[in-house]
Amino acid sequence: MELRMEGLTKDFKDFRAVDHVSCVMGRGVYGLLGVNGAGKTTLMRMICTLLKPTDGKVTWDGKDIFKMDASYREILGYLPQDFGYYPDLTVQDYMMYISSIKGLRPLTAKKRTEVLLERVGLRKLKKRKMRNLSGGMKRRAGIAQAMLNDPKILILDEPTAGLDPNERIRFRNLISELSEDRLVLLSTHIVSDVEFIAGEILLMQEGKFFLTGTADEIISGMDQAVWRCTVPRKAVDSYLGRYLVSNVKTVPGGAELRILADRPPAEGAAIEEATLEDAFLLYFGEKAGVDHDGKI
Amino acid sequence: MMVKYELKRIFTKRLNRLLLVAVLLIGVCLSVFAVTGGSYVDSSGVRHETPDAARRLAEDRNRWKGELTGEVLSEITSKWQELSSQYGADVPAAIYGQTVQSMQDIEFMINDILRGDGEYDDSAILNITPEQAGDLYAIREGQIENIIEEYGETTEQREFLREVYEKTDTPFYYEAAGSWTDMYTYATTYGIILVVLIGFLAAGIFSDEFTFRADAVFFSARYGRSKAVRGKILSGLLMATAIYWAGMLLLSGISFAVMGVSGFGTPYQIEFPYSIYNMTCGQEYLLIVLGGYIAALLSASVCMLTAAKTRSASIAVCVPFILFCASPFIARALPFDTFFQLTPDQLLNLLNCTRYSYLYQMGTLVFRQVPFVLLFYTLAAAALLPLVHRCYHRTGIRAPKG
Repeated sequence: MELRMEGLTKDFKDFRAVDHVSCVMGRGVYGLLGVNGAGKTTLMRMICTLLKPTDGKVTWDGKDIFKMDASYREILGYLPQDFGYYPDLTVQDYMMYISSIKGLRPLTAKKRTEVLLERVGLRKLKKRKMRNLSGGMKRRAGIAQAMLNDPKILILDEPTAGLDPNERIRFRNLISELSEDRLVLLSTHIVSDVEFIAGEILLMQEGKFFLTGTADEIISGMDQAVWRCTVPRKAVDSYLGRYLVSNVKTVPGGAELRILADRPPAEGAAIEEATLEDAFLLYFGEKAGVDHDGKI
Repeated sequence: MMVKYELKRIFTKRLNRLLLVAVLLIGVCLSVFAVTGGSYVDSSGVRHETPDAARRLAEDRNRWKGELTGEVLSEITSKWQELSSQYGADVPAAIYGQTVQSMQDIEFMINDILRGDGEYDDSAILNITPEQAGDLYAIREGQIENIIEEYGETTEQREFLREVYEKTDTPFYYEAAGSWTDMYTYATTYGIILVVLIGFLAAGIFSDEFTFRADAVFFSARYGRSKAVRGKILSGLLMATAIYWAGMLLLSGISFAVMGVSGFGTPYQIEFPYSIYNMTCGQEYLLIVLGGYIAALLSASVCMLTAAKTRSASIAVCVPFILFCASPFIARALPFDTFFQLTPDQLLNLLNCTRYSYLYQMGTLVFRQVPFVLLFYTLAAAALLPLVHRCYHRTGIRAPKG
């Protein structure tokens, strides 16, 4: 079980979205982290044979995935970032339709649909039309469809985008459960999504992998320490301008800041244990977006 | 399973369902118009416009059922002239119901034969003797010679016309065929409506993935670029077939159940004596329906191809309008008459096509408009399908925003 990318490049007119990416992946969960526009989706679409690379190749167990064609897609499950569905179909019909284009026999399709809908908590809603599902339910239906063919490669592009914190935790746990005995590539710009479940994290920026490793390896590679200090409220802007601040919390008498710096940024600053979020802020700097929960 | 769910996808769309119901209701309305459109005058002179009028009219006219020999034509001409001299244009209703009404089909036919290629003259029957009427088929043959000379531009065409006309059996066999001839227009009108609807539904088959952003899941599936595309094409054809025939069966079923099917075997030449198509009135109706079906398949194929190419249902649904509704108007404005007699809209205009002697020639091969249009567009509809497959098979996903 080996997915290998060699010098994988994708150009769109004069814009290079993916720039000579090389990597080998095996069984396990891979977290693809990067800010919006880093090239994560383009990379994933190439792995899903939806886009042809401008240069380089992707192989599965030594075979070019584009030459493998349907036999490669047979072992592939994909949940795209813009998960589209057919709004007038019921959840069950949607699953059966996707089963049919994945080549499942009707009986197997029915069984898999039942099992997966149970697993993602949609069994009771199987007669409900897709258009009437909430955002989180649609995402769960999305992952269920990706799992229909019991894929060896599961590609999840921003699976938690737009989900509330509860749904996100639930989703994370679900992915963790489903990751057994397969290769899962999970892209996100939300650090907490991959921090606990990804065995290996791939940091992507401007179309390239610039750092890969486990969460601990990435954190230990930081050349800045993490500090916690309390400063007067009117000084907050000044600190935000001078340092990388990963968190601002209002406390009585001022604001408590979490700062990345190579020396204490203020008197009384206490050193804190670094997290992957701190590393993300350090490596992506100002480009790191802030999601709707206020997390980096 | 693929086709089943593909069809389910088409028929569960709210808008599609609404349109389908609307079109079926139109079918019912057209049937009602057809069955209530005729009238019958009884022997007392009372006019009936009830749904059974068509049946009673056919029964009345069928008193002349049988071969229209010289004697019969002579008898009808004589009676007609007698009534005309007695009453002029103001025939009393009772006399109309007792005599005139039953002879009208045959009187029209006599006038039509006498006019040859000229203008229709409803008094032509009054200008011949009953003896001349007895030789009406000889008059027709004389007119046919004139028509052959006028329309046969080459030796091959003249020969072709001669052969076609020789195949028409005379004397004509008469049986009242009003229910069939009345339905020509309704079947044509309903055919246009069904073809446009089918185009609309077919457009969604290949554009929904893009409209609903479901393309990534579809194309990354095992059969997303092979069997599933074929499944979509098959669904389009099945949908077109099911809707078209369901609609036509509804229209025909209601109409003929009420009006009756008298005259299926009546030669079309009773209606148009110089038509170059040797068939019965019932066959003409079936031909109109068949032309509509080929138009439906063509509409589905073209819409699927346009949608697969443009990824837009809005653009694709315009195609049947242009092909089947707008091109007759364009044809009238342009000088390319020969070309526009072969455009796809002719599939839905067969009721007129069979009336005229449009001939075409390639080398020594002479052919008529109707068989050419039917064959050519059947092949065209079939030939477009591999293009749909090829187009969708190669579809790539657009560049992501991120």
